[in-house]
Amino acid sequence: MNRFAGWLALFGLLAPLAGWNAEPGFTVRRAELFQHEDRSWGLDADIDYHFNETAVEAMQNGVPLTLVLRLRVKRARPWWWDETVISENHRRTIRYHPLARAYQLTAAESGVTENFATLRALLEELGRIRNLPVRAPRPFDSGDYHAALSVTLDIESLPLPLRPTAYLSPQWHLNSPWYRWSFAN
Amino acid sequence: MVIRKLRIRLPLSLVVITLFTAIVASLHLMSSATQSSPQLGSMYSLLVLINSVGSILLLTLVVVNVYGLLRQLARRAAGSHLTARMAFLFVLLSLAPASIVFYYSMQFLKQSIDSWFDVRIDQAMEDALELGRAAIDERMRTMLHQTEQAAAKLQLAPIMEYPLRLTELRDELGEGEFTVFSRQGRIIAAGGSQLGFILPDLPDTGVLLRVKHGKSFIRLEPNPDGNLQIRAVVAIPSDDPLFLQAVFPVPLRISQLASTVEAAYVHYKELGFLRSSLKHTFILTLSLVLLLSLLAAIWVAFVSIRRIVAPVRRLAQGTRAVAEGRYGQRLVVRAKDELGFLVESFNTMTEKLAQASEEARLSRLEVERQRAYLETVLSNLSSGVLSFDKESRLLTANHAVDEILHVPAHDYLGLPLSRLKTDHPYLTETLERIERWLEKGTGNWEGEMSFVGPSGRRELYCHGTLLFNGNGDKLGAVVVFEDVTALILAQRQAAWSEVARRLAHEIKNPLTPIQLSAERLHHKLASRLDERDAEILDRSTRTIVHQVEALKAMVNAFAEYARSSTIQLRRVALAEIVEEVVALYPPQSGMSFEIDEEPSLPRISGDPLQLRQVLHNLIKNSQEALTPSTQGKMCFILRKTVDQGEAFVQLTVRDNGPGIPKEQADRIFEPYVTTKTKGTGLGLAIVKKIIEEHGGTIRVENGLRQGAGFIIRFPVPETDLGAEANGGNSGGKS
Repeated sequence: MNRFAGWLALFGLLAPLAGWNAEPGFTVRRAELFQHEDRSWGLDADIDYHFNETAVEAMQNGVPLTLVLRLRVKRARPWWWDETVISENHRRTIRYHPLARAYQLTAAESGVTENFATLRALLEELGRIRNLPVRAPRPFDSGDYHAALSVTLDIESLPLPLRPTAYLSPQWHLNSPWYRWSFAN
Repeated sequence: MVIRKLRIRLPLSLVVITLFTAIVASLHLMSSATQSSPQLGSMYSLLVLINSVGSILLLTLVVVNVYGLLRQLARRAAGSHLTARMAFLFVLLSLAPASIVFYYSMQFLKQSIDSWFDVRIDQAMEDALELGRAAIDERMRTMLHQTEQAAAKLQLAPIMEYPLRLTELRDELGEGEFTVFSRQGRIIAAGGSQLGFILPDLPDTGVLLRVKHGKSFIRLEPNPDGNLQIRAVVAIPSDDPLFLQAVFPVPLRISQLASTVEAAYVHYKELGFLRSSLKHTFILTLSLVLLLSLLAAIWVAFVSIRRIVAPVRRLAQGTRAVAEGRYGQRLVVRAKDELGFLVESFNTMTEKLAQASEEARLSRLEVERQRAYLETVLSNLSSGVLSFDKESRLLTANHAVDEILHVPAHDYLGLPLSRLKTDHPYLTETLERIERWLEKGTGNWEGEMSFVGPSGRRELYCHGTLLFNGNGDKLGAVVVFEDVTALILAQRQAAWSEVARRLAHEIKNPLTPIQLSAERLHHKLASRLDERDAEILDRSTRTIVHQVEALKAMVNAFAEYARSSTIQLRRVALAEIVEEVVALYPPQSGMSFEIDEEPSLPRISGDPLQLRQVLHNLIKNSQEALTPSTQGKMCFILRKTVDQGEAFVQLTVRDNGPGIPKEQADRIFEPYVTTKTKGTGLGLAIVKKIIEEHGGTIRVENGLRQGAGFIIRFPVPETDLGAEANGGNSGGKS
């Protein structure tokens, strides 16, 4: 039984490694949280998106791709583990319209759609995040904060037949490393 | 062992039903998810994971079972071969059809998925999309033209009038939404049918770049409602260029049709793209279904086979125990079926076997006991018992045989009598008689035999019986013999005592009157007779008196011999008595003596008077045997000997006389058995009588070249054994 557990653990360790080993398709180049005058928070970020051929081919064949922007903010506490202040996911779906030969970007939360003639234009727009509203559950206490931002392709949103392949193939493990920064309030 | 302990004792049927329900439910959910059920779609990955983990768990169970079975096989455990054979058969039976079904299902799946796609449908789809595009393109060209015209008109008008112009344009065209904006994206004027829009959406920067270079821009695009709209952007030439954007909705009907065509096209394209993934997914699902079912079936097979084989295994173990002689094994009857019946029958059988073996053991013990009893009786018997088989080989011999015949008869068991004869020549005559009878005898035989062994002459009374079985076949023979030497001697002595008593009574009584009468005759007649007659009378009466006195002496000696002994025992040193007696015979008597005594001789228990008598008789016997011209010479040797654990003082007496003829050696101690011309013939008889009264023995010493020899043994009382030195005398010769 122990041997079996060992194999299982090894398998569990190796499975994500397959994804990490792949060249990261996305990179968060810059990210910043700022406070409006009304004390609400906004996010500015610059992200490079580089889809590989597999993803582009799938998209052009009608497979919608969903990207998840993950924002985590933690407050450092002495003698205690960090308190998670913000844990937000923003979903963006990219879809190709063959009739109009246009790429459509949809924000899942607001339902706002934008059309782009080229994928590059869409990705530029997608990568330029300006003043994205961040919902803080309560006003931030003073202290040191650690923030992290990453973007990842959501495999669970892919069509069902593609999922097992996507889980096993490094081609589909498109995600950026966590971009971390600290700020004080 | 660990695995057996971990196994939970649940009803098998419950476990199996639960397991199968879980498997079927999980598989059903997964297969439903595969068929694009939206609710289950999100659970698909989880279900695949759960089923995979389930497969791994079941695989582990199966592997553990197989491993356990292999170990049992290696140990040659009871029932392991049956389990292995049944498991192999079961796996084969379940694997073969499942594999066939799996293979053809896969083939069918691949073919049916491939059959969805057709080049013609492919083309039709492309064409339909192209058709829709063409229908809209016509309209787009018109729209672009109208927009360009409007831009031209706007170029001439001042900017202030733009909103008004745009409204007019809108009214003129009857549809659309118009916006004028600067290069920086600032809206100069807007007009149109849009109601909900507060801010008209502007094209992306790429579009503006194109238009800036003087190219008009027109594009079909889906609007947020899901319908189609046409966007046209045209530059209004001036110093500071402005842009006119016109957004026209595509007529609803066309928009819907185009959307339907597009949706179908997209779906078809997606399916085509996912073709291989779809196959993989179906194959994965099917494989998982097969794997789970097979593994579950194999595991259940193992469990049930174990249950089926359990009684067989127990039976095998029980049989092994019985074979090793352990009959106490009782098997637990768990089932009421045929195997249960078998186990029950086995229990009954072992019980009966146990009873039988116990009885056999008891009877064997009984036989042993009786045999031991018989042997005890035989060994305590004073009679010698010899048994022979039909080949005349010695079968048994009791302890008395060894004592009587002076042979270790136990060493000759299983051997013919001739061997005994060869090793012990003195038994030759005796054994030959027995052999003759064994070979030729037809019935029982009785007879007296004697032999001269190491302890002298022995008289035997033999009784032989032939043994036959129920069919009259000879089995062997039994010979019983008794040592009657003492009995015969006693009989002889008793007879002699009777003779002596009679003699004393019948002869001695008339002797006195005879003597008296003769003396009276002499007394009365001597004076009256003449000298010559008186001398005759005197001589006759003297002769009568002398002879009567001699007769009296003889009768007295006889009476002495016959008289019951009145010995008075005390501790005496035999050597001293020998020296005293020898001292009474001076050299003039014609005898010389030699005494050889061992120092520290123990004392014996004896009557000195009687012992002196013994010595006198022996010396006299020797004297009388001598021829007148011979100088007598006697030798007394005193030694301490131990024979069969008994201590004796042994006195050996030898002389240089004519010796004792061999044929008389055995009877020399009987009265009136003598080789001499002188003496009463009672000397040695009295010697023997006295010695036997002292508990000792006397026998003639054999093998002397000259003269006679007697060996006399007196027992040493046990109390004197420790104090041997007290009775000792410093040895010497006289």
